[in-house]
Amino acid sequence: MEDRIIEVIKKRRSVRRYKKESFPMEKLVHIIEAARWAPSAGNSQPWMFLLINDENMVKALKSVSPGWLRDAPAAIVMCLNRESETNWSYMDIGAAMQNMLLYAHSMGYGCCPIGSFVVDAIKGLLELPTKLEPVLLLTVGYPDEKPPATTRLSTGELIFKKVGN
Amino acid sequence: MTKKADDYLFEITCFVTSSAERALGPERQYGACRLLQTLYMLSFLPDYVDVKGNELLAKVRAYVDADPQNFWREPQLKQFFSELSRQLATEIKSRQNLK
Repeated sequence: MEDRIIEVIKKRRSVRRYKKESFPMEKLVHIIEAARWAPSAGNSQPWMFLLINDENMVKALKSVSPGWLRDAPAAIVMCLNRESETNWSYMDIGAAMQNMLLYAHSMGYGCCPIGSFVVDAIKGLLELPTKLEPVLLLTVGYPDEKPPATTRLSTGELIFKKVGN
Repeated sequence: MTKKADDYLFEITCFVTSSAERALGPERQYGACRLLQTLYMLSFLPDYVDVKGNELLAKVRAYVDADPQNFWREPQLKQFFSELSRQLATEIKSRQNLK
């Protein structure tokens, strides 16, 4: 089991090129199931999601997201829920995102987190209530590329100090 | 549905507007990348309207298509814009009949 998890972690890539095939809503919901079990400060669960596979809305979101470079069949908008916000909410949302990325990869889906988008435009397009602040977009689809691994610092470079055996 | 010239112009308008909005905030460092992407989009203009394009835009397209990661690599991007600027100067001189 541990080997399988590390394999999924190591083989996940940011996928930016997707097949033209549509991506079903049901599968987007399954991805949210992975987010649901992420840790959060005081179990605050400060997240909320919008699931989009409507072609026109996906295009509209892309048009106000300069970091979103290629077409995708679906997207998930990850929002901070101001009503359950704590000082650690952005970290919590990052953990939820990683759960989603790993689950999606394990199922053979491709995803890419996008942080570059115009917040006010996204709010307007999706008619978000003031309590919801979009903080990340996730493009989703069936991969049409296998990006190579990018370089990583070695474990030794990452460990500042070992204390104990 | 085939994209029409006005649709494509609107797409470029959206991209430049949203890029400008972001560049005033947390993404100042992306300025050159977004401008490169805009040039890339302009390189497809001949698909929509009756213009020929030019060698500079063709060079941009080739650069981006060769490796999309080039967008983010600072030394490569700097070198690319330096080369493009030199080619730009040559092209301007040629068009203005300067020696």
